[in-house]
Amino acid sequence: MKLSRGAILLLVPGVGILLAFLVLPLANVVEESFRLFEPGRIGAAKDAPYTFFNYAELINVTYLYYFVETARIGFIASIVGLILGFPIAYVIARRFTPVWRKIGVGFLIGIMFLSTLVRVYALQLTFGPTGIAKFLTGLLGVSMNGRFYTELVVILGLLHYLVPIAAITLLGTIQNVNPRLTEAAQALGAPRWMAHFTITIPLCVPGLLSAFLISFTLCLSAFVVPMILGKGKVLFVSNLIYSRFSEIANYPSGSAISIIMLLLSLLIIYGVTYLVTTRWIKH
Amino acid sequence: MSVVQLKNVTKRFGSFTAVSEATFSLNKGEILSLLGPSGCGKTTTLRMIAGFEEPSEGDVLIADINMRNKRPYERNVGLLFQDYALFPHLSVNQNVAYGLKRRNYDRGQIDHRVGEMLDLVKLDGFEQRRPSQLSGGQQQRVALARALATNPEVVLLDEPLSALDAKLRQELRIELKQILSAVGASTIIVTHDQEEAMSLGDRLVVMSEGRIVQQGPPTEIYKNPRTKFVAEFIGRSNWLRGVLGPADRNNLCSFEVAEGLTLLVPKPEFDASTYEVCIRPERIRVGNANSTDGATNVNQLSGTVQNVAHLGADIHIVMELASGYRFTISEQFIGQSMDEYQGSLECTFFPSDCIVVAADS
Repeated sequence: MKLSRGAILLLVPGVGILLAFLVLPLANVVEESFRLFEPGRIGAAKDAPYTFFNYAELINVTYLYYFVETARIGFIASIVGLILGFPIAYVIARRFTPVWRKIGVGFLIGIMFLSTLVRVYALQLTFGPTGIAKFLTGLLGVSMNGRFYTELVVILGLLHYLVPIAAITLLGTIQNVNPRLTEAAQALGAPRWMAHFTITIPLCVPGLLSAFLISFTLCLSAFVVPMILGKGKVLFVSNLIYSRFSEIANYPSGSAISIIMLLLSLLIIYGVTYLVTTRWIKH
Repeated sequence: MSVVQLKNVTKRFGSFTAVSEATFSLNKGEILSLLGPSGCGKTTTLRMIAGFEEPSEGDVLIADINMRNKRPYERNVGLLFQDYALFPHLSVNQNVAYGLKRRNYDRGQIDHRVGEMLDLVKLDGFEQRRPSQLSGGQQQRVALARALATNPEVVLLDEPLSALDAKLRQELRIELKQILSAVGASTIIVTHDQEEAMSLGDRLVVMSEGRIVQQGPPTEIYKNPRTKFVAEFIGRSNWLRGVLGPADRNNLCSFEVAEGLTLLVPKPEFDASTYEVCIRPERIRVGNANSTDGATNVNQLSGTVQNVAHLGADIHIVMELASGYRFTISEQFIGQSMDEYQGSLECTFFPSDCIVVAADS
């Protein structure tokens, strides 16, 4: 790869900013995570000795629980987001006229531009103890303070932006699948649902994978949704990191958790991508 | 016995009538070409037979069973799309087997039938390839094998050769015809290419603006087109507009085109207010009346050569008549010099080579 002088010139500012404001601070976090923390201080002392304690401390059921819960709820929300987003994308891609398609996509993007905080409080109002959902939960005999209900509301909060993101990501994928293929399958004797599951869905696997990964990463880093809607019952790793940094000012521990979270996320993303590409996308 | 029957089939999309009162039938083992310019309703007709569109009026019968409200997968129809629509994520084998699986053949039967079909289209050895690893011609043959595998009552081909380049198209045309007759498939081919329609079809159905304008064997339609549209659409033609005189003993009429330009034409079997006459370029011979071995009643024209194009096997000569009309003459190249076609030229043609149609005012 040979770059012209002009190309290098154009690359320098972007790469420079990435190095200065992303890689360096991240390196700083890595460094901090190996420092010994003395309770009562704000962050580690400049000359604090290096230690593995911050990581060793995490090998504990309590901490493991945070990671598992974050991944589990994120996984459920991402899958539900895909299932809900796919039909929306399909209808917009296949059934809408070009004008309506633009309106549809605009609407989806519009939803995402709405402040997370506003959406979360809207859910809180509706599904909280003062909202209209109180009547429904009472009817179904579900406790509003129960773990199940709280988790459900957190997932709803996540779906608020997962569904539009999944739909927008899948839109392009579905548009790239030749609609003649489903017709060919039908002419060969496959009812519509079977043509859908044997032809359209398999051809959308790459798109479904990227939509899933985008959704899942967003869930893993979700912060406001579990903080407000989780009501302290459902807490994500982000909330743990937040409390480490701002509530007890244990920067080294917060850093260690952040690094582990980063590595786990990368590992999961790599694992899922590897699995799907080797199993499904051979051509 | 007819395999497919269309009875007064009309299809409307909103206020637009795509197909209007189409009636025709396909006999067992026959190849029928549905020919017409784009937008004439031929593809819509095909889609109604396949079941992707429901007729607004009229009936589609396959094997004497009315197909009303029958979904595509409830009909036994083999369909070949213009772009082949091969399943890109499946191998050649799996593509051909797709229809067999849906029709609940058992494993052994599927393997046997797939092998048989790939043998038929000469693609054995390609079983494990993906469609993207095949050439255009090979993809077409896979699509054909897939369409024929389930032994459909009728095979529908939508512009089967249009995605291929000209040379390959001619080769595959012959191959396609051989494969179709080998399995004795009753076939409907939709095309806008008259050569394709004539060479593949045992019978032609010509459509224009949603209506069937003429149907019959290709030679019959070429020789006796009923309207100007059909004559122009099928083959090249020279047109003259004039006044038809009464018929003589030999059933020939005079046809006065202009001052000093009167032809002898066969008496038409219909009445019209104005008539037009069509003469095919290849029916016109360069030379004067004396060269036609003393035949009487020969039309003779003279004019000046405007352009000569040697196209290989054929030579196209454009000649302007004294009256201002332009004539295209097609001559076979048999080694003659192009110098023969220079300056003023005489040409002849028989009255029987004149096709009289009603002028579409």
